Order: sequence, then structure tokens, then C-alpha cells
Amino acid sequence: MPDNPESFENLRLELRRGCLVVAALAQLRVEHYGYTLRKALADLGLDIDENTLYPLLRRLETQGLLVSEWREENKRNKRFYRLSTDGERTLRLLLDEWRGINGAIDRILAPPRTLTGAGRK
Amino acid sequence: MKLLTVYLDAIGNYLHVRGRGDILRELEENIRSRMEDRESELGRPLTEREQQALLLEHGTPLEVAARYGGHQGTLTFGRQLIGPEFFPFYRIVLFANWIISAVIHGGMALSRVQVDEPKAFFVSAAVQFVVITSIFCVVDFLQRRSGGVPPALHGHGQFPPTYLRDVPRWQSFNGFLAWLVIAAWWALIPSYPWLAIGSAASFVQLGPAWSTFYWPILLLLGAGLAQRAANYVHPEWNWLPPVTRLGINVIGLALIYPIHASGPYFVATNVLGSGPAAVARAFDVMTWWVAVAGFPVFLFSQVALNGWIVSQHARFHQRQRKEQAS
Repeated sequence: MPDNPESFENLRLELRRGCLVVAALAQLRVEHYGYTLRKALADLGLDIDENTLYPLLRRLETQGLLVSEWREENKRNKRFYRLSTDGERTLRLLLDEWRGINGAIDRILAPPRTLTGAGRK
Repeated sequence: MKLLTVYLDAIGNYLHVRGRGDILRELEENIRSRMEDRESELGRPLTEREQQALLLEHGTPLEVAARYGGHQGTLTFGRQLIGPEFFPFYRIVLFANWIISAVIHGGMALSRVQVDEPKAFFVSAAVQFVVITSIFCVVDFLQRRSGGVPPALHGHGQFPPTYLRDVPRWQSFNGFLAWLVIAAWWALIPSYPWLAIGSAASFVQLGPAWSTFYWPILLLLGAGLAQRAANYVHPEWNWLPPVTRLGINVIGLALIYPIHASGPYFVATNVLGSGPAAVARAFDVMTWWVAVAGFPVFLFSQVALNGWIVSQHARFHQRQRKEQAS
């Protein structure tokens, strides 16, 4: 446990915030409504609080990254979201960025290599 | 699903009007799906307690609305003076006071009772602002110091909120007794003036003004009695108390002007000597201050409070009707 759990929690939330957007966009390559999206993400190991996910979906839609429509399913009207064309482009770029950051972090964390003779003067 | 309706209503209180319906529809669908999932896991319908737990787990209405950028509003002057829990109620009380004040002053201006009505209105509006704001600031400060606002105020701690619960029989019974005593006291004053003015009744009598408001007030007291009797028999008529109180308080406010204009309320029976006349005058001034200057403040706040509760009932029943229709 860190000495300052509150500060850790803030950093953890900050780290998660961006990841959740990428995860939601990626999962919405297939159409979902709010609840099934949350379940699908949770089944894949990413638990998102409802009060974070549902407003996030509306925000992403306002930004043009998602499109939604009200449709009947099992005799009830539900709002289904999916990725827009602009959202697909953005997701590709975000994933590139993600892989770049991931690779960089991996390299940073890798054990330092000992200097070979070629490196010595 | 009554609890869900109440929960969504409470969230709706903190959301912007624009987009409110859409957000609530979507939330309702998502929460229903979650409830159904839970029911299929358990193989039975959720009990009221389980529904309550699930809703509380979803978040307090204030928290949920805040995530959607709900306009909770605060009064901040350097630091927060009235928090989001109290702010909606503060706004209702303040605006209700201003509107009622504008109506009364407008009426007086039209009837040319006071020439300088616009000035009088702005002065009273400013006084109302200062008084109401100060009261809410103090209440907010005390609540925060004591560890938070009461759960019933933002409706998340208890489902259903108090105003949607059955009216307890003991409450109706005690209320009936209290109102019966007051109504009997009022009814007997013309026959026994000492009930109102004590021993001064030997040289002071009720003025003609009493005929203006005696019967209307007796009828209002009768309405209060009837409401309590009805709620004793039908505790489930939880809409009846706020509707009756709203009616009584609005009529009470409408009586203020006739009461103001109809004085004197007491006159001296013994015209000899200035003593009885001075006592009658003192009772007169006291009655005016209580009935015309003081009581309306109470009536204003009651109109605002009961008006808000009636609007909550109306919204709740409207949603229920929609739900049943769909």
C-alpha cells in the first residue's frame, strides 16, 4: 500500500480515464446499448462505473465519435451506440498512440543492458 | 418499479430541462436491464429492499445528475454559501416570495392604496432576498458542520421519500386534535371575546372587521380538520396533505389584503376615558403586525414548500401513467 493512498487513487483515476475512452470506442465497433456495453467491458476485465460510462457515451456522441439510435429490443426502447466514421479514424490514431506509449514504457522498464566492449573507449 | 420512478424523478430535479427526458429514459432502460439481470440470477423478482440497495449502489440522485453536468447550482461568494443540496429549494422559496409579493404590490398599485408601490415592491424584494438567503446560509452551514445534509433533502437515503409514503395515523390523529382545539377556540371568540383578549373583554369588543375574515378562517380550519380525518381513514392518500395545505395557504394569503383594509379589529365599549380606547388600539396594532405583517412570511414559505411537494406528486403520477400506458 502506498504511503499516500489518496494521491495514488488520483493517479490511478487519471491513468484509467484515457484508457476507458479507448476501450469504449474499441468495444463500440460492435453496436451496444449502455448496459450491455458495460457488461461486455466488465467480462473482458475492465469494470467501469455506470455513472462514468453512460455520461461518457453521451459526450463521445456529442464529439461526433459515436452515433446512436433509439430502437426497440425485447419490446423495450433502448439507445444503441456504435462507432461513427470519424470515431473509427480517431480510434485508429488513438490505438497507434497507445501502442507507442506502451512500447516506450516497456523499453523504459526493461532491465538496463550492460555496456559491451564496443561501447568502451 | 415505483422506486425506480421516484429515483429518476429525484435525478430529474438536478438536471437541465434540455436533455432531461432523454437522459432519464436512457438511465431508466439501463437500470431496468440491470434489475432484470439480477432477477434472472436470483430466479425471482427483486424485493423492495433489494431494489433500494441497487439504486443506492448506482449512486445518489445528486451524484448521478452531477455526472451529466446537472445544474445543481450553488450560491458562492468567495466560498460556497448555499450548497447544491439546498440550492434548488432556496431558489423556489425566493422566487415564490418575489412572485407573490409582486402580485400583492401590483394589486395594491392598481387599487391605488399606495402611490409609491414600485419602490415598496423593490424594498420588500430586497428584504426578502436578504432574509431568505441568510436563513439558507445558516441552515447550510449548520448542516455541513453537523456532518452533511439530511438524506431526505436530496432523496437518496430513503425510498420512497417521505412525501410519497403513507401518512401515519398517529400524525393525522394528533393533527386533528390540535386543529380541533384551534377551530373551537376561533369559533367561540365572537361569543366569548375573553378567549382572544382576556380580561380586557370587559371594556374592549370585537370590531366590525371580524365579519370579513371570521367565517373564511373558520372554513379554512374546517378544511384542515377534514383533511386530517380523511387521512386517518385513508393513510395512502399522501397527496391530500400538500394539496389541502397549498389551498389553505393560498386562500390565507388572499385574505391578507381584506384583513389589512378592514380594521379596526377591536373597539372600546366604554367611550368614557382614553384608557379603553388605548387598549383597543394596542390590540389593533398587535393584530395587524401578527396577521398582516408577520403571518404572510409563514404563509409564503408554506405555499412554496407545498407547491413544490404538489409538483413532485404531479410529476410522479404523470410518469407512472406513462409507464402504465407503455
